[in-house]
Amino acid sequence: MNRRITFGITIIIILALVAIFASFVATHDPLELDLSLEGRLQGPSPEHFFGTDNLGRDVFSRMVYGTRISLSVGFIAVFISMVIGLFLGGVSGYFGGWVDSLIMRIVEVMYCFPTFFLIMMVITFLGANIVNVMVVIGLTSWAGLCRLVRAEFLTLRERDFVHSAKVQGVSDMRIIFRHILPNAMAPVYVSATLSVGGAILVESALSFLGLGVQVPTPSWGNILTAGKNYIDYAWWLTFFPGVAILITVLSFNLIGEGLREKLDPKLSESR
Amino acid sequence: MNKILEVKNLTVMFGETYVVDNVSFDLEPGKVLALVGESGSGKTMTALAMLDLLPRSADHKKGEIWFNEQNIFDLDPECMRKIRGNKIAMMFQEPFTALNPVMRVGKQITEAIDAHQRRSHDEKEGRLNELMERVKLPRAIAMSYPHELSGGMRQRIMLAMALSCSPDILILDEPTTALDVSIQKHVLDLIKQIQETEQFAMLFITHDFSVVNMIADDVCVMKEGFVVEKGPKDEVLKTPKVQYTKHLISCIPRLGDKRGRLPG
Repeated sequence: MNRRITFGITIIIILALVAIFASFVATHDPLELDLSLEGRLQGPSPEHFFGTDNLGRDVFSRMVYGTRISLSVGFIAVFISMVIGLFLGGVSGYFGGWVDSLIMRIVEVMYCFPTFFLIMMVITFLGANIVNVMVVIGLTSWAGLCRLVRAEFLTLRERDFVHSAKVQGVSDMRIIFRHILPNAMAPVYVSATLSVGGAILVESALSFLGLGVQVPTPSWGNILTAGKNYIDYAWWLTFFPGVAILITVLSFNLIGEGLREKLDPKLSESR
Repeated sequence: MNKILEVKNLTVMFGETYVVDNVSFDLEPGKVLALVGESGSGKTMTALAMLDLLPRSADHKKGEIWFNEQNIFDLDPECMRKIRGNKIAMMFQEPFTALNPVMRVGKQITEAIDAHQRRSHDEKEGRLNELMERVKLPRAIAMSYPHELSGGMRQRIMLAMALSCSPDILILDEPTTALDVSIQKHVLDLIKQIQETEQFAMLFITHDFSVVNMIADDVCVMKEGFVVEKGPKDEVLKTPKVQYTKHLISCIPRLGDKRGRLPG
């Protein structure tokens, strides 16, 4: 096992456990206020590991619950974009002709939009909540994957085993999903892992702008937002969520890079 | 004479180039027809036309292929799909590329059954056992992936794939060319034996007259898309009428003999 993958996966597993067992890991109720003067904006201490925010809530506990948001947004958004990207890319590459032209034009249109502003606009219309955020990120991020899958299909569809399946009378959809797709998955895994990190960043940015997860539900992005007003004397409010985002995205990127190296024989030869 | 499949005046063109030119032949149940010719003589294109699977670049096709009182070129794609692998099966040349590298071979053998028949899991397992026995491979091999098997084993797997739905016609496209001579003999004997028990019609594509001698009942010699000679095997092998056939026959290697060459 590649060291980068091991490191990345270890971190992700820890984060996933934290997210699943959030109620056991958290030391306080993440929504419990302490508006007394001493309770607000406390620095890190054994009582409050990451300090408290402007409303006296425990930042560590809020971040523990925020892990759930970040990871679920990352995974679900990428899952949605994978389903769309694999299906359209597969159909496009396999059938070719006008189907391919149509799908590729849609992909080009998707590429023309500044995605982040598109997401912001849609969220403004549909309302900011976590489900909308996941779905919208998923719906706007499949174009690259679609192209990748299409390119794989273009080479794989001429392979003998595909002809052999056709000769056996296997249906087109089955050839696409049972025969070609499993052979095209290596670059998809890489791309999907890297996208998880990207989706987490987009969610954090949206929450930071107030368009993502709404307060009081904690997410790493909105903890950052709350912290930005106090950045000159309460560094812990922005530092810890920032580091959490960094480590998480980094871990996904390391896994993605490690997988790329492992799965692409050309890259591993040159090392 | 009862025919199971009749190819009438088949012509296939890539742009202006004829790859198959006015080819006609019949297949009879229980008989083996060998289609012989050098590379590029249109043998494989003829076979692909029988399954209506010509490449997209083949822009013109003429003629008729009659199977079960239907012209294959008139059938809609779904009807054609139901014939492929079910009534007419084909086995490919290259055992190293014709199997899906990420699917267990047992699963690949039963793909055609899944595509054509509604069968329970147990029935499929039963059929798989039967097929593995038929091609003389241990049952455990069905759980392997193609890269774990030798060329001869893969060839047998491909044979089992082609036989899975008990087709009426089996097309074999140079089934032994990629194998070394001793394995070739085993696979050919096996094919011949299965053909004799199951009595399907077989179209055997090859360039090798020694293989023709072993397996065929009738021979059809092709050159540059034309059929130059056809007839019963013994007739064609012993008294070839055309110069080209004589040349091909003289290419059969014999011990102590200087090997004949096909004039360019």
